[in-house]
Amino acid sequence: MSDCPSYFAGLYEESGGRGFGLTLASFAAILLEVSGRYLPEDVAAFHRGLRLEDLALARACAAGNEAAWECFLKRYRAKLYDAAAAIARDESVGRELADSLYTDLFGTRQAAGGQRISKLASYTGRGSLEGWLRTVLAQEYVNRYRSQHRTAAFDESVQLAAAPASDGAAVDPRLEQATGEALAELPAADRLILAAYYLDGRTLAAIAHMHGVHESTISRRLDRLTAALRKRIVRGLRQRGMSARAAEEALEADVRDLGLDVRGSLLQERGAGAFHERGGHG
Amino acid sequence: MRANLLRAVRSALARTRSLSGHPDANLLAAFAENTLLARERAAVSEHLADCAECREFLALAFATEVAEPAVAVKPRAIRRWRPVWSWAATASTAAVCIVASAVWEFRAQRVAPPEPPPGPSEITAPMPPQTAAPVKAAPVKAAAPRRFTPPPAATPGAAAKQQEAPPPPPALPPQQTADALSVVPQQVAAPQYKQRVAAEVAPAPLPPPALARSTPASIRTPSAFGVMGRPALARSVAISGPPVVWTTASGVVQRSNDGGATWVTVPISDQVSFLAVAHFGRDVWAGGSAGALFHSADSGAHWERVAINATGAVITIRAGAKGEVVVTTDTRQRWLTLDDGRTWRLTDTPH
Repeated sequence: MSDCPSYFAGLYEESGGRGFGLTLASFAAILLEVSGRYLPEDVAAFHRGLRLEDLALARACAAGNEAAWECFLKRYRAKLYDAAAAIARDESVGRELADSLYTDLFGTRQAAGGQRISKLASYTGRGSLEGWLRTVLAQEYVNRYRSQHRTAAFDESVQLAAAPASDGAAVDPRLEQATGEALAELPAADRLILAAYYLDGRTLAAIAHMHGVHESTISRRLDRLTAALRKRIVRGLRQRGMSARAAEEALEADVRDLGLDVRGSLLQERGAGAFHERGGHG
Repeated sequence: MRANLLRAVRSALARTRSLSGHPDANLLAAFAENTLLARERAAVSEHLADCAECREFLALAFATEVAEPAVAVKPRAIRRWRPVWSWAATASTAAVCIVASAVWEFRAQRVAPPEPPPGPSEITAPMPPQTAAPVKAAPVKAAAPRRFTPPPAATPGAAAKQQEAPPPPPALPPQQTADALSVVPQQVAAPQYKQRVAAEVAPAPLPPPALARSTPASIRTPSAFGVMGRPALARSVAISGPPVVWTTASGVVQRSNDGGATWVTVPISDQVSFLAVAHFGRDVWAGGSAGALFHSADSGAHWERVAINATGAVITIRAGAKGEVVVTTDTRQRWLTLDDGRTWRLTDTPH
């Protein structure tokens, strides 16, 4: 299907790439490049799921089309600076961040043939262009402004994790094992929510934004998750020879007291496989 | 114990960082926007559950709209969301709105004929940072819990709704409107401007005709004193009309005096392909190819070339208060002046 010219023609018209100087052939090449990168099972459905308009705009900008740049600036310049200020939580740092990214988007490096290499060429249309810009800004911010503080922040988090031990209340190894086991049985999506909540200290609203769902969804899911986790841990403790009462006492009365145990367990390496996508951040 | 724990944690984190690949910005953005295929979402979730760095990217990119700081908090201290409270809050808000509306209607029917204000009562009310420019609105009654409204002239067709109102004052010369502007995106297109202003507009009656601070008192009309027809009190603002907007297109600098509805090309130099323009008040800066930078101190009527020895093309300009201007080139040079361009210094070099 993807070999059929009419197939690409429909997507091409939908993208509006013609207005930005993209030809049908060049747009088809872009689509094939994107699908070749992700290797979807259903290529046609994959192409239809792309943000075609954003993809055409970004790639036309990367190719240096002036109309595309004007359109990009009108649509995203203000958003870029607003997002940078929000990410940096400082207007001047945000401006520098946005300026820096803008330079990369414009393309300062040159390929062997003398052509500019624009960061927009790496946009694949999987999410919105605005979302991609925000993510790239976040990566740039961490890499550029916060890397020097990472050690200090890391030490603080380690001290938090070590707090129970320093209080002299040694954790029962059976509880640690049961907690680790219970967490290992959870799906990745659930562990992600637990990690964001207990390990990173994100608020429910922040986690909801990260997942693109409503805050109440995360709240309900977290309630169910902690209740189920508690049951699993109790079961694991009983399997390790604890009485029901002792297991309950080990957990204390409130499931939210699991917090530190969960934190400790989440800090351990999960043995996750490497992500299939190559290319790293950015 | 503590030292052992620290070592274990560091060791675990080091192993986690040795993951061979991370989802790129495309996948992270698609994850947050729920547009990934199921298997991809599962894979990204798996990675995120173990990669604090990618979680940090995601949180910074998509959770920064949340006002609450993303700092570590004790779980128990977090206020949980409860549907019942949401319903209660909605119901009480609705009740307050109904009562306020009834009181408002009652007072509107008893309003006195309009009178001129007792004295100078116009103040400039800057819009939020994300907006293009501070907007002055016609004086309105202080007690009215109403947000700022745009001038009717900014919205095509709005004038038709104002048939009974007197004609708006003549368009302001650029010097006057430019004074009402602040730094911020100067290349905002008309639709964006309208959207932003519209976002600031409460569902209230249409505003009175625009008046600038410099508008002669003789052309003031009763409707300029607020929709209630009363003299403005403490909270009075004035609208100066659509902002002057500058942009670059096809290598030339363009200017719009009507918020982007119409554009005129501003001749500066035929030798330069302009890529960036910015203004603050009457100061306008334009830059482009070959490190060219021009400055106008009179809203674009006259231009002077500024020598900053920049390499590459000027691609961004930011003009701020107190004579601060920052110029960035495509060779990553960053030039700064703090005295309206008299002296420049290079603050960032290619790396």
